Amino acid sequence: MPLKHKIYFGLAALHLVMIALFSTHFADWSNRDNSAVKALSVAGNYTGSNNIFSFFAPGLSDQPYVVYTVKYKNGTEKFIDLKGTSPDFTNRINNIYGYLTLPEARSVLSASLAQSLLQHYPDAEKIRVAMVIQQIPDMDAFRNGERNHWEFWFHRDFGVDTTLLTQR
Amino acid sequence: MKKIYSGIKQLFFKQEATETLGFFRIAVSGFALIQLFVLLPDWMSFYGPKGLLPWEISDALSTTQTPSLLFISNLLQPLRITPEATVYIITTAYLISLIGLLIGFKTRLMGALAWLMHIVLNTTGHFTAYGVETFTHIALFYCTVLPVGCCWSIDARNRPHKIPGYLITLSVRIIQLHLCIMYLACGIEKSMGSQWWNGEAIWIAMQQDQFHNVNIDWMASVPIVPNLLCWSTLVVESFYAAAIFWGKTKKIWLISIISMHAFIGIFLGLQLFGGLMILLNLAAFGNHCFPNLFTFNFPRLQTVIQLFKKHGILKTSIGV
Repeated sequence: MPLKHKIYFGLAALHLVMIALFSTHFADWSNRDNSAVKALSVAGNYTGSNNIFSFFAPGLSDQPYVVYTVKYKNGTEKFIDLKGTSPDFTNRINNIYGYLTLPEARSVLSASLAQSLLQHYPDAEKIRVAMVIQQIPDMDAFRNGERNHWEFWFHRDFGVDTTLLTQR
Repeated sequence: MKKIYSGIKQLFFKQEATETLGFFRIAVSGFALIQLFVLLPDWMSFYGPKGLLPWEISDALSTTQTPSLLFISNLLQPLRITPEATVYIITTAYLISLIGLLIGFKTRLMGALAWLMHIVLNTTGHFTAYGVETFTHIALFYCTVLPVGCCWSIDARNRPHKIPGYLITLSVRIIQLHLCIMYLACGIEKSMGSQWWNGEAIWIAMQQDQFHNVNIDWMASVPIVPNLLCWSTLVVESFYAAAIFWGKTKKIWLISIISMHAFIGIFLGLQLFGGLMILLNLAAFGNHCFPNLFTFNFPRLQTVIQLFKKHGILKTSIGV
């Protein structure tokens, strides 16, 4: 076997070790400031070897959803449920809504969504971004008559220049 | 000790069919093309400069050091190319490279281009990306570095490959072992949550509005059903790495994991994710579990056809 091919075997082994390491949340428990860890993370971003595989693990949390209300200059209001055209739109927009549950990301993401919606409603003077959370009872509670329901989480009102007007 | 050494040698040097890599390339590029067309109506919402999340925001919140559409747009700005035009250029390059990869024309170059374009798009759209993008990225990386153009490609037709068998085997093993590590990690992480032991994970997933494709209220009265579904998921994922390589269980395990992903696709509305995972499993282990799957040589089926012909059921000759 030529040396070049031996190197291929070595790189393949390194790649697989990285996949195994990162799948154990290596990025969380290692020293992030270490230059070797940083280099591995950057390499992993390109090779796909730095992923965590936590699909629906360790469990599922309540589902967030966002609804919008646009207020026009003449005082009328319109309720908007953001739906895309492609079948995968819902899965992707729900990903963004998932990040809205993080308090530190809430301001910037809700302002971005407000700005995005306002582009489609040039006559609007204000938009409300309101997040609700779907509460699902466990099977025991469901048998005892409890049912799925939505609970208000927070809302933010933005002006046309996306300045924050009010929040709750 | 000798047995272990011989096992490892067998694992990495036993000849694998080149068709496995050909199928992998076609499956990945074909899937990425379908995904591109599925997302196209909302493309600018996901990746446009004024999409759901403006470029500046998605870049500022990005944790990776990979190039984004904003980065490329800034590079192209001196040429008076607008941000919108940058999206069109990158998308067109992605489309062309995927077609090139599918037919196996300049396979390595096309694979690298598709992989890079996907990185650029995914860096910008990382807030909307989920598991399907993770695996598309991984698969496109393998299309770049592995000899996936060695079979069923224009390149192979023009110039038959001279790649040693052990490199074909190594390539197939990398894909296989990646899947094995992934399922093991998934199984362990799931088993750490109580929801996967008491059936609540399936119950909650199927009750969530985003996944609520069928009414499963009846499951609350028959909790053994979600329990069995959860336990079987844990078993199939946790023991995948061992069972898929063991001769006695490999077929049932491949069928089980494909069924699991089909369930995810149909009942949780994650058709793209389910479809990609089915293709990756088929590509990685299809030929291993069902020999001659990619060479379309099924001796038993041929025997049945011969039998049919003999009894006059099939009048014409059918080649399989």
